[in-house]
Amino acid sequence: MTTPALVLSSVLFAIGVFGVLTRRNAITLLVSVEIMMNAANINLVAFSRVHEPAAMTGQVFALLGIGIAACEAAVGLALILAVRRRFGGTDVQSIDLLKG
Amino acid sequence: MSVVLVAIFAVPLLVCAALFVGAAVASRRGEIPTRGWGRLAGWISSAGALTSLVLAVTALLSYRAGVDVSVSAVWFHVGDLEVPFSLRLDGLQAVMAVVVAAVAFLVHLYSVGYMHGDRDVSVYFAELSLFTAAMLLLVLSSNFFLLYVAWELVGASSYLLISFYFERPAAAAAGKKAFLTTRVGDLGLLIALFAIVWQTGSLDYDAVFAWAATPGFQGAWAVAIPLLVFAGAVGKSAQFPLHVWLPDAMEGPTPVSALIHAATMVAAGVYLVARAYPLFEAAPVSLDVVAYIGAFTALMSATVAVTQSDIKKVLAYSTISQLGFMMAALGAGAPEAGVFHLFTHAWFKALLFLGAGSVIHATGRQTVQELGGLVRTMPVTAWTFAVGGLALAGIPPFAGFWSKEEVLGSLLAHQPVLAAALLVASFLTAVYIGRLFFLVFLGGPRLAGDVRARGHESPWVMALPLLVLATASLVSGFFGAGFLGQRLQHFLSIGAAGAEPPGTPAWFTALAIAVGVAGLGAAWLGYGRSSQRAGEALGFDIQLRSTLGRAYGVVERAYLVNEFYGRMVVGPLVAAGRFLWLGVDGRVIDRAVDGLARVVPGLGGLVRRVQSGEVRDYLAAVAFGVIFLVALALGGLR
Amino acid sequence: MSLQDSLFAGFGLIAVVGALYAVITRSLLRAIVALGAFLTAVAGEFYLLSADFVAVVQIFVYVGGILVLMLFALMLSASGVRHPLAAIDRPGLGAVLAYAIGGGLVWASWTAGTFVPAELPEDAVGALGRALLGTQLGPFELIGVILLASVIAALSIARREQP
Repeated sequence: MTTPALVLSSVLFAIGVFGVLTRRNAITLLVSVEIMMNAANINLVAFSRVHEPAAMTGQVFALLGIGIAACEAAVGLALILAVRRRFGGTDVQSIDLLKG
Repeated sequence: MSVVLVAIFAVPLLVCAALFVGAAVASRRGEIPTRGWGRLAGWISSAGALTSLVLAVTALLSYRAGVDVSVSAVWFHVGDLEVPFSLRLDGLQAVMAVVVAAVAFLVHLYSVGYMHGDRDVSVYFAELSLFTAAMLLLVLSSNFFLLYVAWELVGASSYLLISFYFERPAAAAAGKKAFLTTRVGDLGLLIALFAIVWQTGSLDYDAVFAWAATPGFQGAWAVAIPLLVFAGAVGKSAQFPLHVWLPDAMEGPTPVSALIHAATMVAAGVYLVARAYPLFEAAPVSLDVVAYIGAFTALMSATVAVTQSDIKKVLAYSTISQLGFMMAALGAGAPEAGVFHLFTHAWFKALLFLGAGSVIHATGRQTVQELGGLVRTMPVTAWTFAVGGLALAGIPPFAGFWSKEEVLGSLLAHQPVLAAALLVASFLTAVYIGRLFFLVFLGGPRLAGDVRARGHESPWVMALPLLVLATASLVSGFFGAGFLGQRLQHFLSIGAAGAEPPGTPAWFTALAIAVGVAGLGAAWLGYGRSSQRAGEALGFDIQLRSTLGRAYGVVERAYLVNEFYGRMVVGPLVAAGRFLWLGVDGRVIDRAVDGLARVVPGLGGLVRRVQSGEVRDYLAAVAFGVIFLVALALGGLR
Repeated sequence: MSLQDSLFAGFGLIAVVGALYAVITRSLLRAIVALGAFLTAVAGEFYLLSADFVAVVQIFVYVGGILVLMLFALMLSASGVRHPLAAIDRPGLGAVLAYAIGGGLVWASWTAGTFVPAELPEDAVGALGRALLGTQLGPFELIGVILLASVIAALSIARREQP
């Protein structure tokens, strides 16, 4: 069942990439990033049984990935609130102070 | 080993630095320079010059006593060339140092009175001290490199002092002209120094002169090096064809003219030829060039001096003429006679200039048409001026007679034609100095009702230098007089030893005296006799003008040399400069730069669109990168 | 096809559909709800991959924490609720890149060979706990520090500027 899990995670990751590249709303961007992180976690868990199952390394890293995702969500949502106050919206196209 | 020689030039240099710092601090604080401060600056720099004089006399006495006072230290290395900072003293240098320091001291003293109430007096004294230091370094140095450094330093300070009244366009232009014209000659000297280093690897006097005495010194270089050195002397000593700057240099303050453009700096060219005499001796052709140019200059500028109406211009052309006498003597193989004339000339020409300055200071006028009868109101100035004039005219027993007799005698022995030319120049010398004296000091005021032009006697700080210089003009000739054994000439001992100059025939001495007296007599007939009545004295000038016609005008305008240079040298240079400015710089370089300046923002504008500032565009770029890297990794796995 | 395989396929289908819907819907609220379905389906997949504990954590942290946090953010910003967004911007570029990446990954997974999953230890959750507090203690502690730092950062970023 490892290979189907890998294929599934690949498909989910591609969906996440698609969302990141095409959505303009900051919150939706965050949603897409979460999808990509879950795809990665599926990969980690699937390989956990293949490589050194006794050490549980894959599962540990999936857990750590979830923790990182929590951090990312907290900071990201705080940023979205700050951006909304500053720019009056969550449309990332309007955030272009770096425009050359 | 002794520090006396260093101290001689270091003292005025320190004075100069102190005065410049003082002036800078004062102007930074926004203080307006007061008269008291200027007077103090004058006294400080006079004290500095007096210290130099005392030290120079001390050095001369210890040299006579046989003490070695030379100083040498390594200055820097360039490749194989080691340039030392070395000073030394021989007879020539000792005499020059004393003359320079003495005249400098008297001029400093005189300037305290003359510049009284002028603006920026402390800067004036700083520049005067700088000149004094540079000139003393010039005569004390013991190698050509140091000499060249000092040579340019005196040129720079001369520039500063000529242009001292820089708000007057004429003064600014005169300073520029003096600097640029002398630079033409300096280039020759510089090339000569390059050639010397190239040939010998040393710039030390003794080493170079030893090389000049060897058989290896021959061919093209043996002729070229003395002539190039002489080019430097021609520029500095205002000899034809580079004499044009000296009359213009009269725009500077009159004490400056006395010190720099009569007594010392212009004599530096004569000193240089005398100093480098072994080089000239090795190439007799170069000596002939020196003699002919000197004699030609002497005769030509004597004729010009007769026609000038500005007191200082007369004296300027007189200086050029007298420097020509010195050069002629050097060229005739009698360097001692030339330096002897330099020695006496320094005193009496400084005296004449300071006397003229006294007149200008008192009356505010400096053309002979406006002056007259000053002997009654300015007796000290008048009588000291008379002493200087008699010395210049070559009337015994004044100093000029003895030295001029030596010069003429040496020329008679070697170049009789030139001796005749110089006799004519002597006659003209007596004429123009007599004319100047009669017109300025005798007769009555030319302009009725001009109260200031009647003049008044100058303060003691100005009178004292006049009296001292008058005394020197009277007695300095005896140092080298033939009947007293030519002690100065033996002390100098330039050139090949044992070349005792032949005595001057008695008939020639008598002829020389007669020429001087005749010149003064002619001046009396033309200008002195009738000058009691206003306006009539200049009648002789008008007569001359009508008799000679256009030729008089040509002489009055100094044979149109300035006009010739303007047409042939300055005009084309200015035209070339304008072409390079408007044509090349404006059309080609500016446009290229402007075009480049337009191209760069254009390219930048194309590239800046990449930086959209939108995070998703950057993410897309990252995705492209990921695809590329993944493809690379998978391709690598296969 | 065993029950397990069917369940795996079913959860996978829910995950894919949920993710797609979350990515392409116009409504923010629906996107977040679809994300919830996706996250739950992924938790099911974890369970089926014999990672029970990770599945539970997934439910607790993601569905219970992050999802709720997102809902709060949505309500606080309140921009997407009343004004539906343009669903998709520049779909061509996104599709091409996503297809390239996804296709590459699927192809790589498919051709990577067969993996033989081993049996996990009896006391899987105990082994996981030992691993977390044993060999993986360093990363575990580090994640705690990062969490603390991110909480402080989130507070300081979201705080209103001092008047």
